Amino acid sequence: MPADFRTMIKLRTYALFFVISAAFLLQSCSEDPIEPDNYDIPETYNFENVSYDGQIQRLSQFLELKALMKTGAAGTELDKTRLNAMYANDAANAMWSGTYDESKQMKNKTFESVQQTFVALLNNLAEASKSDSAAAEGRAGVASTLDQANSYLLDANGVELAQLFEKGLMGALMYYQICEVYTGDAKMNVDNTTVEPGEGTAMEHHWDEAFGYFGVPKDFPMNTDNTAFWGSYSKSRNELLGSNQKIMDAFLKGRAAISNGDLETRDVAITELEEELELVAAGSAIHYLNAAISGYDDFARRAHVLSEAAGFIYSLQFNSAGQVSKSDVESFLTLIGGNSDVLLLNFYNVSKADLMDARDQLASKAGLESIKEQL
Amino acid sequence: MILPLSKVNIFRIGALLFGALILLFNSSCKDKPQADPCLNNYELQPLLIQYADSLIQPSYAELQEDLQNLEQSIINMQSNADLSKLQEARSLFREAYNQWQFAAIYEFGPAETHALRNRFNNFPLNESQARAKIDAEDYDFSDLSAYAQGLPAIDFILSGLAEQNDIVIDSLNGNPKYLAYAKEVIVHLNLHLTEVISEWSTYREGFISSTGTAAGESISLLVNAINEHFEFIKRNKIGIPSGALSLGFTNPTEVEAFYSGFSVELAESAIKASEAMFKGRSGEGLEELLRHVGAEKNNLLLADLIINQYSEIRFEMGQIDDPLKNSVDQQTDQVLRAFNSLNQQVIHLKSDMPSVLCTSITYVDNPSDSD
Repeated sequence: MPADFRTMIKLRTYALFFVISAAFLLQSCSEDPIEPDNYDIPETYNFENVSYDGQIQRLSQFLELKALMKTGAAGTELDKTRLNAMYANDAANAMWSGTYDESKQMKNKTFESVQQTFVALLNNLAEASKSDSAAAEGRAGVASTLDQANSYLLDANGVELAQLFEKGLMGALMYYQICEVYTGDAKMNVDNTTVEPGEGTAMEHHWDEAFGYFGVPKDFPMNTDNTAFWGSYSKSRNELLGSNQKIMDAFLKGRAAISNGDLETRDVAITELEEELELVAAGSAIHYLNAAISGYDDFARRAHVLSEAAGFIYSLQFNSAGQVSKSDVESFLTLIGGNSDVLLLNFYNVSKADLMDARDQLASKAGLESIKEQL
Repeated sequence: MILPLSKVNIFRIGALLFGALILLFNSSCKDKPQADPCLNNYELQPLLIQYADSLIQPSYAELQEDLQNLEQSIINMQSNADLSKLQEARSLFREAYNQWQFAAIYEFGPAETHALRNRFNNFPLNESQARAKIDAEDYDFSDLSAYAQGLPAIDFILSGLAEQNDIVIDSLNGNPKYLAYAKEVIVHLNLHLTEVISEWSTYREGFISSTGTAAGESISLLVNAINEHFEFIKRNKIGIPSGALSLGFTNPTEVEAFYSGFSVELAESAIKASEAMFKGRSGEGLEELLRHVGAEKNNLLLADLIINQYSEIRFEMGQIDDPLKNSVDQQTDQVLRAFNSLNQQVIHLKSDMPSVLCTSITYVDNPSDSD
């Protein structure tokens, strides 16, 4: 082989080397690739130093309030002072069954701009419960389903305030706290090194508090007992959405990521949580809209499920990463209740066509079109 | 001389080429190399003198004059308020409040020591707290976290006691505590402003001699000051009322100058002050520094980008009608457009500018409420 030919080969080898180096260099300009996971994600929420006692207390308070509100359907007159005392944990007037820390209340964790809306719903509920006649258009009272199996306390506009309050507050309190507060910048750009015994780092603790608002046991969904609020509605939608495992996985992944300083994976988990929780809320709203469409002619039933639907729709606005915006919420409420203001809904005059329209628009916004009939 | 391509030479050429490649690709990762990174060859003192003598100190002197005029107009009303005196006081108040926007931006040195921003303009006013203080003739304004004093309290007394002017006048004449409170507020503001002015006369020397770029040096103070105040404009004057920071729920009661209603005007003044600070005076200013280092972004000079963005902001703000407390609901989309254009400028000012000037942002962002 002639010497210069050998040299050429060498030059080619070098050239190849340069091209490869250049490729590497170019790559090094872009973001570093995400490091492969070198930590385990457990199957249950049994991490070290987990505490979300405050969330458990608030969910328990909410369960007590919900139980009291339901007694209105049996003709019990509800005391406005007590309802408000429960909402704000004024223990002297709340007459709790459980024991709660003085500082733990639902009201001050509700999205601030709408706290008065929930106070108004409670006051309206107490007012409606005074009625001793049957519900009719323009008159509050109890209404029964055609088969007489179920009764609900409705206001003068046919709204079951207990349902609207419950589903609405699930949005303005728990859904808001999870999607906006605890996974938001202010709670996530915090210390992740100093471990507080029993609570973990500040970042871990905030994540655990978000988990606490979901309302499921630590070994969910292997164990589906003792769920509350969002945990329960995830369960109800699970067959079509697969939400139980998806949401739990996101919580587990995010917590493991935080404990291992992997903030990129944490942020992926936040996005998954926001997406999956919105699907549960939107899926539940669609579910109840379907119930209102199929049970359209049974007014008590329709009023009951529309109140639930309206509450879930209202909830959707408390997640800024969601597909459904505040103005979407207002237009859906207007379709089903004639008003964008949740305090001014009226379910007496809605047409079946409007309900279907609301259902279809919501399904399209939320990305649930393919299963909107089955939900 | 022609070198034979021996193994060694090939290796040398290779190493050279390799080195060149590294340089080439490394530099291609960033924007174009700067003419003078870190202002090593820039004489900063003339620029600092311009800021001290043509912008900062004059803004205080003008504000002091405006406050004195305002104080006099309040005193005039104390004997007997009438419509023309009220209108006079309101117009002087408006002047002072606008002038405050030009002083507010320089919150370092003496102004920081005296916490001028908290003293002058904690808004929105806590009306019940203010009423209680007025009623108690409580003229202790030392609590910097209180929202019952400063210019917002004057706003309330001159325009917030009633909708109709004659009822306002009756209230002022009927209860002398209102004007007494207004006067004490102004006396207090003037006292601290006067001290700031006097302290600046000695502070100036250190300020113009601090010509490095490290944290705490004058250029770093200026870069931080323009940013901190710009974020305040974005968040407190527009963002919070617009609902952009609260899931679209508007907060009309959180606006600046809630009672008199010239909130947009004040925000525009604040933006003007920011732009004036960016431009500096006599060719000496942050703008010129960016031109000097040749900072570019998206193939445009960063200085031009920032100037263009200021004019876009002015345009978007100009589309919003005062009072802002109404337009946040009536022109929500327009208010949000203005908010977005302010947001865009934050990227230029806060992330692009400091790095090319080798300064860093050292203030802590407004913390959100915790627990």
